[in-house]
Amino acid sequence: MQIDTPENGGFMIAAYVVTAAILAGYALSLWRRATRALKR
Amino acid sequence: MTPQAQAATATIRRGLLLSGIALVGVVLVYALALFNTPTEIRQGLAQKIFYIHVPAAIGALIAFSLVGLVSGVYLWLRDPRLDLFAHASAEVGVVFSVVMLTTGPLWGKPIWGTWWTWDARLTLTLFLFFLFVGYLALRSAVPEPAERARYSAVVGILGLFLVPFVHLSVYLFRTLHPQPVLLKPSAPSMPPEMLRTLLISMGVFTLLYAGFVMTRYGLAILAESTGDSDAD
Repeated sequence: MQIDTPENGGFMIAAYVVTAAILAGYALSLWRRATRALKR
Repeated sequence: MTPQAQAATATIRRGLLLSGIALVGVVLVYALALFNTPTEIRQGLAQKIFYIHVPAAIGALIAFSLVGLVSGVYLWLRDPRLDLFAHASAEVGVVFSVVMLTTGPLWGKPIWGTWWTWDARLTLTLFLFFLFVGYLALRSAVPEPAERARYSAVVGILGLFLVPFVHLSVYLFRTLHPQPVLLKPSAPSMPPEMLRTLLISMGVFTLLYAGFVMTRYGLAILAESTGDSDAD
């Protein structure tokens, strides 16, 4: 039986971009807090 | 600078380094998932969301479990460092939960035909997320450190009780959510190439958890040792 693989790559790209934004955003927030704290 | 502040500074630096290495690891996981892992024939490319959704979900559950366990030990020993570790773990757990709760619907829409459904696994996971957002809000609202640590430890322990229900909800209730493919009594039910990518991703997310928590914990210790709450 032939199975048609769905074309839904857009959802995967969106998930990967959102994950990268969340993780990089939190890492940046930690880095900024650390830079400020270490300067004092 | 006091020895405690020096140790905290070293912890922050190590945490940032580890976080940086782990973020490079996330890029490698993306490359591995996209170019070196087969596409599932029925689900298409959306199945590859699995390689970030599952490690983020497991990471969040481990983070929240550690909050509960460490909070229990805090109530026994009253060591403020345990409370600061629990806080760090809760914050990182919430970040991982946001990844889990955004990538899940992005997989659900093409596969289930809906962004969200109120089934047991999804609903309990959302409750757990709200509980730990409440935990962080509670910490901001109570200024006295010992009182704040005691109240938040109780909430952290309550969160720990919810974790097994989240994991077992796919067995306890009729649910749309897929059954575990890895954390189950029998052998993993997936091809070796997919399993390899998943395991590497889980290793990277574990490293990311360690890096984030180390940095956050170091910041909290530094704030406590210098008496500067803005550093926290």
